[in-house]
Amino acid sequence: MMKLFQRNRKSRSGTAIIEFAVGSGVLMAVFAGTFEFGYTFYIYNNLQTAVNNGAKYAALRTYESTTRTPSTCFTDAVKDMVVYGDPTGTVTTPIAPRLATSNVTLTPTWDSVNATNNVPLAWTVSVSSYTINSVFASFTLTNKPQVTYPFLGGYAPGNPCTQ
Amino acid sequence: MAGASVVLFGCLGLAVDVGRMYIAKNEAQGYADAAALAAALKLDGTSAGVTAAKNAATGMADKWNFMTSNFSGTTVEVATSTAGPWTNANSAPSPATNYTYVRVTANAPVSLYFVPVVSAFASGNSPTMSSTVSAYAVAAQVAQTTFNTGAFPFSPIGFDGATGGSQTSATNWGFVVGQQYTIRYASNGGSECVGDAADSNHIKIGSARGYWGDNSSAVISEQVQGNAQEVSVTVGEVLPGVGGAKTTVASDLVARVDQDLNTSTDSYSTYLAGPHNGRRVVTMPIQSEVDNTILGFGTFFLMDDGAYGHSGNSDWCAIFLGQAYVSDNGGGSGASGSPGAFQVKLVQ
Repeated sequence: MMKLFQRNRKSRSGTAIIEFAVGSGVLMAVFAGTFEFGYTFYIYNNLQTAVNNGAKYAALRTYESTTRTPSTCFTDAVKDMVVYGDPTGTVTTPIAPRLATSNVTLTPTWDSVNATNNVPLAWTVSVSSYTINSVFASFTLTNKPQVTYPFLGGYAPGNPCTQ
Repeated sequence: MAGASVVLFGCLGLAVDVGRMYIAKNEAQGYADAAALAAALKLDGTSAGVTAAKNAATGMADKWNFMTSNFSGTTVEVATSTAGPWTNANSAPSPATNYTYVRVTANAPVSLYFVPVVSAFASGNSPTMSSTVSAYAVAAQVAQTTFNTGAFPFSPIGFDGATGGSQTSATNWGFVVGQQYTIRYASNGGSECVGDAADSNHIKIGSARGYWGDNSSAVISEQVQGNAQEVSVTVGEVLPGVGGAKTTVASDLVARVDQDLNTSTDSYSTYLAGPHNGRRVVTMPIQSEVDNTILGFGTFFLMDDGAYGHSGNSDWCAIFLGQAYVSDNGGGSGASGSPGAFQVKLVQ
């Protein structure tokens, strides 16, 4: 019995296991956190760039609707620009996993003084209901990223629209 | 142990702090680009225009820190060239003529969580707990000397000849702002538009009646609507003039005028004071009365919708506006001292 205790007192293998258990728990949490934040920020940065480009594209595009409701062709082109980086809809790989055109919101700003003026003053593009899934956690974005550009394009009501 | 934790915090710092700084940079750049463009649209050569530009830039709603914080210390500066010197828009220059460049700088003070641990280890000093990420953009009103799209298919004749006709002014190609000039000549010759009626050089020459580009009425119609422009035109080249009365184009002119909210006034100031959407404002090449080269691109205001007669013998007129933004949503007057159409775009 004494021999057993004496042998155990000298042995350090048990503390190493406990140390490893505690240390690896902390380490894993740190690694997981690093990945989680790193990946989330990476995707968010891509979305920010895409939204910048989409808003710039909307601002430069000719507004051809005769009303304050943009044509489907116009909104599709802008949303495709955000999601695929290409307004024509020929590219089909989104810039972020599972990002779809339904996640993109396109909001015009109108002349508040004159309700009959159908020339937009600015375009705001944002991403909504998009979930960044970074394995250990997921973040759902609501109206972010969001970018507003002043309208720089032409106004040609009734003109044909090609996407 | 200490070494390992420095490495660990370094990794965390790279992922979290540097990641946030990259995003802040991107957010600031998007804001600066949009704000600079919004500001450049407002410049009109006056101090009030510079102030309006500053307000347009600072009024942009975009934020940073995942759309939660306003940018701090945003500066708006104006200049006459990209090289500067840059004048803060808070003390607007007077006169502000030729101040066509705007630089907007946005700052985002990103707070750091993990990088300071590493820097404290490395330097032994107390670390800075935040890092300011800034981005700037320069937008300008840039003279446009080539039109591949959007130019109106008519070309008024400038007053640039040696004999000079009735006007010899070197500014605005001899045009007077607010005056009417001929865009299509009647088949029986001279002009009856007030601005050039008395000028013997401003008459129909050969078959050329003021049109340029394609000879088809259908294509000219599309060009009046702004749908198509088949021939590119550049300052200095000979205008590709085409003949024919193309009487049906009168309907297209009237249709275009009718798309505006004010279809009746022939006064641009009255037009600007009331509801308008800019459809009556068009950009046309100005041709030389000497050799038909393109002198520049002027902006004109189409007459009321009853002014364009559906006959080969009617003169069609348009009112000279001077400078304006080429996108035809109207109202912009430009800050440059020299005439001509301009575009607002990012230059840096």
